[in-house]
Amino acid sequence: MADKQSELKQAIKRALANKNLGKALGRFADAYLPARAKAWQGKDFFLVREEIRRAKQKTVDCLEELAEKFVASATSRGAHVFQAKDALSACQYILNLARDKGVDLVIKSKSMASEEIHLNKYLEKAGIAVTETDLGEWIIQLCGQRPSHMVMPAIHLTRQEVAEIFSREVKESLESDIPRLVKVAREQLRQKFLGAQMGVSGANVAVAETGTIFLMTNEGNARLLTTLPPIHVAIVGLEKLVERLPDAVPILEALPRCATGQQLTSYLTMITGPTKVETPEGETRLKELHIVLLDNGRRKLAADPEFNDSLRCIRCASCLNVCPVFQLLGGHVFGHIYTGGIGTILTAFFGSGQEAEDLQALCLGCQRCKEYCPAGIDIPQMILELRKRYHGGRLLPPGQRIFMEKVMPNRKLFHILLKTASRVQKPFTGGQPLIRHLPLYLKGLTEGRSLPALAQKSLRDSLGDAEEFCAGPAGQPVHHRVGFFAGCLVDFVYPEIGRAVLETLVYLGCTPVFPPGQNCCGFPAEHAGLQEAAVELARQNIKAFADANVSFVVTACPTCAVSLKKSYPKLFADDLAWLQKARELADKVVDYASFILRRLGEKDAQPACLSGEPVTYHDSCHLKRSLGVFREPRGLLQKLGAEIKEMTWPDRCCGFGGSYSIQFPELSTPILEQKINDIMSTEAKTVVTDCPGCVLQISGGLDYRNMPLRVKHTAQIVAESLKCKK
Amino acid sequence: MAAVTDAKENFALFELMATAAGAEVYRAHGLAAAKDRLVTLLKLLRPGKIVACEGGLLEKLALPAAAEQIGAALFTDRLRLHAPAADLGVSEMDLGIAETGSIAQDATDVKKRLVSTLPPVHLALLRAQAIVPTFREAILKAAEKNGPPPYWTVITGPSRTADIERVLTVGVHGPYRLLIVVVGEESEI
Repeated sequence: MADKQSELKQAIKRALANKNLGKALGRFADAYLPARAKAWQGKDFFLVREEIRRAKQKTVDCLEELAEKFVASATSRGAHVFQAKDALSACQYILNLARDKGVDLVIKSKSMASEEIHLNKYLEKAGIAVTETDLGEWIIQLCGQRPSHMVMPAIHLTRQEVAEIFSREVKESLESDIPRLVKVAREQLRQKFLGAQMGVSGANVAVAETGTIFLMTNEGNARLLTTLPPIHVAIVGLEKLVERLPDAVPILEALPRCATGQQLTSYLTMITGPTKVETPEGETRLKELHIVLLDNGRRKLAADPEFNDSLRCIRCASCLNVCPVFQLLGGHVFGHIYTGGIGTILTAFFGSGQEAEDLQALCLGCQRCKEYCPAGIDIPQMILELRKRYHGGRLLPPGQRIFMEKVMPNRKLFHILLKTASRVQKPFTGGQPLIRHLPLYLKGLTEGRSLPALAQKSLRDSLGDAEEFCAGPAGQPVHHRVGFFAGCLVDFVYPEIGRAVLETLVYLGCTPVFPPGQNCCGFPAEHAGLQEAAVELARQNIKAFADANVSFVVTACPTCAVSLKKSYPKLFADDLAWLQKARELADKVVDYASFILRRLGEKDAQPACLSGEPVTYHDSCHLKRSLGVFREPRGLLQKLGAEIKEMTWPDRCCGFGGSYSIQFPELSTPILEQKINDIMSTEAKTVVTDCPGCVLQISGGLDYRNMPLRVKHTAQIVAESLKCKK
Repeated sequence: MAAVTDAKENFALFELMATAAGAEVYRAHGLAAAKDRLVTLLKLLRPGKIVACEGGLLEKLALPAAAEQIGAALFTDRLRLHAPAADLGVSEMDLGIAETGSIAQDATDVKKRLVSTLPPVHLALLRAQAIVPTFREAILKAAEKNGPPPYWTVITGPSRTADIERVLTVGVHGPYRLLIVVVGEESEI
């Protein structure tokens, strides 16, 4: 296990050290979203996404029926259809066909399915030459590497490197002039097109009712490949099927828009049965069209209710393009054959499973991919599920695992340990609220950011002196009793945020109640794959708030809110009695900003003390993408008189990701770096966010760089404003 | 009147999108103008060897005469032999798609593909009435008679790649130039 972890760490180190890769991926990431937005102009993304979801859901639900229909219709149109149960049988079929027909050169257009079954290696071992014709794939083939991106396989190579690779191939010294290099590829590959006896392609969509396959390319290689050689083999994963022709349309609309920011690729080919080929001698004859319908784990995937949504994937690579971790690592580390977020899931089912176990750890959980997926696949949720299945906890450092499994569910022990820690940390804090350096193996934690010290007195301890917050005066009407769920960071690191929440609730006429039985929300344990610990923590919190008799439960931590509101009902899906209680709690949970904005409205309070102070707002991943809350905090700040200076990507993750920043500080730090740059470009003096984790990460990053900005939780801004009004 | 405006709007969008995709769009009001346009373009392109599919607009525009005028060799047969060395491919398309600036055709006849894939330049002829507003309409129209034809093709701009350093470069495996002559009445384009 330790070896595996260190192997992954080594691979990460290599990727981060590769400056070309970093630059190429970074440049692409910056250009991708504007280009994509432009390509979607005049087209309703959400509508198309819903159409794709519906069409592909039918595929998932009726896979056998669609496969049968496709076989019948394609056969009736003159194609040979072979149903391959696995990679080996697909390769064998194609090799036998090639041998039967005396094929010695096969040309290929880009096909993920062919990469998945390792077709090239199989044919080459049998003495049949294979040439990739997609420019990127050809470059990769010539230098013996692996594709680093599903759509742009050679994105990690520079023009100089490509010139070297081509120079070796044509035995001539080529300059690194891109149009010249492309011309060399055209000339070299043109000979292959004209000489090959077999063309192998994939398919972007296949239509069951008509036996049709669709191919999209920009270079035109699929068009030549399906026009010149007398045999065409299309390898089609079962998930590419849709029932009817109109079901294919939204996929064809979304794929180029999402993949490369084009309305349509240069070429779209719709093939239904074989056509004639012409020989140089002027004879024409009907070509052979073979369609290999590939299972290789897809039926198993379709039967798995937790994961079968992933069969809706149209391979546009949006999830790679918006992933902050992929942007740093590329597909050589974050992926096997299929890369990035969706690649992790597909690898688990189409690959050996071994690779996916490593890959799942790389997901930061920021959920940005989910927002951009044109098939509406909840990739982060599936990665979490994968983590549970692999008992992802095994990959945690042992100390961290014992802490989450044994210490955290034991509230008293947990809190005693924290109290002790707040005393022993003194040598490192020097009495300051931020820890700038840690020694030895903990050094990684303070690389690129300062760490906050644990509070001298936790929120719960300080509330011991202020009874009214703990219980609330007796006899208050229930609807005024508002439960406060603090969460670990607010309780033990940022009690001042908790105090701000309590003060503002009181100001707005509520009676805040802090049930002392509350514990960690369980999110870190759940996300480490430690299901039992998460369930135990959930029980403690559900009970604490049921006993408190409150009508709302407010929390200043969006991650806790997601846990309480969304995860708890799922954790008890099979336990009806607890499910009921979990739902009752979930219904009461509201994030701080939404709750306050609502109350302010009711009371018509118009505090205006920020008087045009320029602030910038950072969206926490969980608040925006899990809870859909991003207007409310901005509305609230504006109501208080703040002027919001938006940064470029306010919803780009800060790189905290809870224990992620401890497990992968080398990834968390560069993501934080980007966030700091975004913030600095706004010239705001205050950064506001609704998540104590983001406060920790961003203020740590700013302090480390000696930037004089303040980072505040929305609650602190509200409290300041109300005080100044008084 | 409404229909006329629609045709004009269709064409305007088609021209905008096709140009944005890297195609060159020329309009010709009527057959005579189209004939002139063809000769002008051939004079500019100066192909030594032309491959083309016979019939339809090509016949009406007297391509053989135009080729002769500029001294180019024209082949309309044995295209698998001639197309790889041709300088220009000429063909008529069935449909234009305004939304994406694309041209589409039933390319079941392999000749249609040989002339539009192998030569470095493709000159496409399109009737203005054949422009439909959306991609969706085009695809359903292609399949409306007896289901989808064996080989249906949509072309949007020249062959392109961004596989080296994401720099857009045209003319990888297909033509590096796509010229579209749209033939229609003045009320249409």
